[in-house]
Amino acid sequence: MRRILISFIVLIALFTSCLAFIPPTIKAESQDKLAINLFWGEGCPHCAKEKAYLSKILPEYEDKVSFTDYEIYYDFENSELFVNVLEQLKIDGAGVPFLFIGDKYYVGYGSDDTTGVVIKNMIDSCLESSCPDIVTSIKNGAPIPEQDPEPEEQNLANIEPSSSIYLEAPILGNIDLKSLSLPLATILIAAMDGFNPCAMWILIFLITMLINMKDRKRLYILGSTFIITSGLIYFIFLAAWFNFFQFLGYVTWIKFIIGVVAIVSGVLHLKNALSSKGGCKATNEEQRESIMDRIKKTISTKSFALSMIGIISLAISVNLIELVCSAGLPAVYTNLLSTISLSTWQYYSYLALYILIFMLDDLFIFFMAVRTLEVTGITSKYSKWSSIIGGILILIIGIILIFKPELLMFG
Amino acid sequence: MKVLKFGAVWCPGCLVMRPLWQEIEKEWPELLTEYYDVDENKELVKAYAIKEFPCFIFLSKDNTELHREYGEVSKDKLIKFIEQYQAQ
Repeated sequence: MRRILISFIVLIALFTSCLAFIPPTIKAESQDKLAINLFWGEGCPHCAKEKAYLSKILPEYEDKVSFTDYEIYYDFENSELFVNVLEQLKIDGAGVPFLFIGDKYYVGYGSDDTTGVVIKNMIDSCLESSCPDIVTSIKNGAPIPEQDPEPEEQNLANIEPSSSIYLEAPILGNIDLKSLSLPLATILIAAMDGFNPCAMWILIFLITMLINMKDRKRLYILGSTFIITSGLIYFIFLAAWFNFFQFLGYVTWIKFIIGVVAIVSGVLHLKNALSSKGGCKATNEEQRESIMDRIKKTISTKSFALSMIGIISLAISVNLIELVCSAGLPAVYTNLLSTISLSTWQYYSYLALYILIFMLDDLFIFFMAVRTLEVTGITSKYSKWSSIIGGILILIIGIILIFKPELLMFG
Repeated sequence: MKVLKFGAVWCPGCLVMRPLWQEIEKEWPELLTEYYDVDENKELVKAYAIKEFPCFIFLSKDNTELHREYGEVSKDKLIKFIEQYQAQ
């Protein structure tokens, strides 16, 4: 087993080092001509459209422009250059296709009639004025002009499906994964990830104990502290995944590993759902008892500050265990999000939306308890279905990530 | 016939089923039911080999298991079982 593992690691290392020696596909460079530099990814449908459009219109400009394209998914040198260019120019929200026309840039590609027209106007405008080749300057280590590069109006809504992937889901019917808008995809995936009433047992136990103490103040503060800390931990976890994918997500073997993780997670989701008799499984009795004892001790501590610290540390530890066990959907979601060109605040807003949807059931239980001083049960009748739908979704995404990753690239 | 109800304070499905059983017990005053908290009755949970909660076990007069249901069960379904097994 160890030999197989070592061989696998060596193969990956060889494969990645081989990729590093593939030269960039530079066609021509000239100081006198207007430089057009395109960063693109093999298999990205919008990149293919933009390349086809450029190869159609560039011959019109003959000797006036020089075109260079940089493939970044498989070419490490090019992807390093891309990251370097973005860093130097302080551009957030990297994604491909990313086109530089001199020192102006345009992210994404919709259609020839929309983005195509904008690009043509940019080229014409740059031919009339002077647009220095900022990419080559950065590549050669030359100083960058003080003036920031100017983005044209970016058409970030150009997330068009290249083909449809249908998911036949009970209750929800046929879901075309590629036609889902990003907010809807966020809500759907977060709901599948979060809707698991059986996993809420710690919060329910905590609220029950707090209600029994007949201390509203403790219920408000300790209950909300537990929920807020849990949300923050999950947010940090999602942000870590997201940043990982933003920098390395386009690397083929990372997509492969995420695909394998997704398949394993999908199979486990399905196995658990199909073996469920309809109730909540009582697993790991020792761990449950230890958590219950910890909650009892923490909330009955006379010092309020110590109770708060205890609840925060409890929320951190139990959520960390939970996160490691259910990394599948967050990994898939953040990987998808990283393929879309958005600004930093938009990325984090989507992560916040994910957390809000993920925690809706916890918030419901808490607010009901605060209002009625009773613990409300949330039906777990549909948790079997949500696990089945979630399992199938994650399994399909895993298979696509391994065999046809370009289908999951929105950008 | 009697019904053994197994649940826990931390189990959301048990909380959903609690008021439902209260209604049934009001409508069927002659029905014998016993509630067992799973954290306080571990031996019994083990003896009945219960792996999921809530769990409802229908027993005959001589304590033979007639039927068991897991999870959230509708009131109609529970009444159907009660009617079916009440003579036993």
